[in-house]
Amino acid sequence: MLIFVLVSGAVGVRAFVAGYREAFLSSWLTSVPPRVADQIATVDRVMRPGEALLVTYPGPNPWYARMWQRVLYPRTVVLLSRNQTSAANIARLRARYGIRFAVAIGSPPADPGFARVRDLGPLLGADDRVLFGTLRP
Amino acid sequence: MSFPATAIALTVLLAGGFAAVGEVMLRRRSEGVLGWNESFLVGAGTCAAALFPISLVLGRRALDALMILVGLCLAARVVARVRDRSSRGRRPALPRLAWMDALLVAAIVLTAAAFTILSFRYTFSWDGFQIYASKAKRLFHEGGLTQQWFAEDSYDRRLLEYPPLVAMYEAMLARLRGSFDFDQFKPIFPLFYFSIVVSTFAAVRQRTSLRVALVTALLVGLLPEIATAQAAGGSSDMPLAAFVAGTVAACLRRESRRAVPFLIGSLTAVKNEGTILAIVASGAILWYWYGSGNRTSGGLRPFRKRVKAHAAGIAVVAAYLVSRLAFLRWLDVHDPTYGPINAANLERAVERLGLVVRVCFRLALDPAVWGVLWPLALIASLVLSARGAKSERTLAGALWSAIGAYTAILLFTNWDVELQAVQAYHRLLSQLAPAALVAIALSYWRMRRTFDVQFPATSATRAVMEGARVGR
Repeated sequence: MLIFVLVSGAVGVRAFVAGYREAFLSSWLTSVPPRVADQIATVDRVMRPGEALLVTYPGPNPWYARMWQRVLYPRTVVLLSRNQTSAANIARLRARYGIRFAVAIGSPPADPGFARVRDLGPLLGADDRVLFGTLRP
Repeated sequence: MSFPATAIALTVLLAGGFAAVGEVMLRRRSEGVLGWNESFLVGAGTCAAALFPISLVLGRRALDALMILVGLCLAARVVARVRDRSSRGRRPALPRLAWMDALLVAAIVLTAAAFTILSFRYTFSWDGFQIYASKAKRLFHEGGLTQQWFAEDSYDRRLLEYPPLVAMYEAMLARLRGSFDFDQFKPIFPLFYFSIVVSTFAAVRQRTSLRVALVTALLVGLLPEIATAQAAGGSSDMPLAAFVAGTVAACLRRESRRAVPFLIGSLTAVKNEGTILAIVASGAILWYWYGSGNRTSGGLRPFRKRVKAHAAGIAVVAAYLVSRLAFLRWLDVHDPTYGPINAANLERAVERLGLVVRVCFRLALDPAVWGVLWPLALIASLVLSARGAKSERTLAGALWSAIGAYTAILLFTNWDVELQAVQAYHRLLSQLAPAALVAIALSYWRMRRTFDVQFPATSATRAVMEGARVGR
């Protein structure tokens, strides 16, 4: 039993050390990293209240794209992975949600049909860039 | 991130409100940390389970109505306590601790502090952010449970099915703050961590020495899956483990029996798997009532008598289960993660059996995550089955039934089975880890008692060495 207690204690302490190392050395202080929060705030300021936004992402990991969606809620944010960005699909979604603006994440980002585009800078921890702009009418 | 003093204060205030709801449900006054912990779990679980029927009736005003209800319960209990204060005697003095026990208490406090710091410093994990906090944000804005998910996201519409306890707590906290901030919810999780430690201590202390209970409480607080990673990342596995620990403690403590049906029912309001656990726990209690293996009290007639005597408790569990199943039916979401039980999937499950067992064994025996917990839990369960009291045999049976059910789920996944197991199995086991530690502690105590009877001289020497005379 003593061995069990010692082994369990050692496993627990080791996990705590690893957890602390990860939390204090490589984790952001906020759930939404500051640069991403700035990029989202920039877009939010430009758009009308309640207006929908299209966000394209390279896939298969939609972590940051979903972060945009969650942070901007209750604004409607429609996410599309790169392989869904056909002109017909985008046209359907634009008609359905009245979308005028899009954010494209990727390296290089997919072009959802930008009329004017603004580079919001790189995505954290990746080679991807974040582009924002109005879509062609 | 600055020190979230307001969030901590509001989290504690809400916890007090949940405890007040628990006191109303249990028709009693909470005494001591164990009583408060039990009331908190019952109240939080009941509010989460009630959110669906209230949402059906009040729509977007459901969350506010629930908060008003919590506030009223809290106010009523505070007034009752203030009125009652004058008539109450002095609190009993804290027991004097042997130096080793004091050291163990200090280690538990230190571990809890370490988890609290880690929890505040860690940002949300995938599940913590993209599932629970996201559901909380929807609940915050929508004011009640709805059938809507984020636009065009058909696959993750399955997340609507996830029970609302963690999201509800976060949304209530945001309502009290007046705005939604993803970084203000971390104080919630240390509460559930403390609850696990307290419940585990209570379960073991009832039947063993103070020292064994303290060691078990310390070990549960040191389990990596309870104290780091997912637990600090805001998922609901650790809160579900708190409800499991609370249920085990209530089942083993005679004075907590009234809370048992509420705690079993509340399992359904925390995480999807909670429904499985509620069914396993209900089955275990029916088995306990039937008295299988007990020649003096078993049988169908006494069983019927016990069922009749506990009809109210059975109705409570049934109400929570019905609420949960009605919620699932109302949502009408098809979760593509798992296939239905039909001939084709059963055939696939049989083919996968070897692989699933192999992978689950590998994960459960991972020394970096579990040490030797699960092999020892198996041995402990066998010891309890052979030598334990009826309730201890029931605990062992329930523990392995739950592990069996959790393993069987993986047979029906539509994902790559190994990937699913690697992502899910540690978390599933973490929900049951407090029960496993309780089983280990109880079997240790059984074996030690047997040893003491057979070798009294040795045990007397050990008792002196362990400070048995210092008022334990």
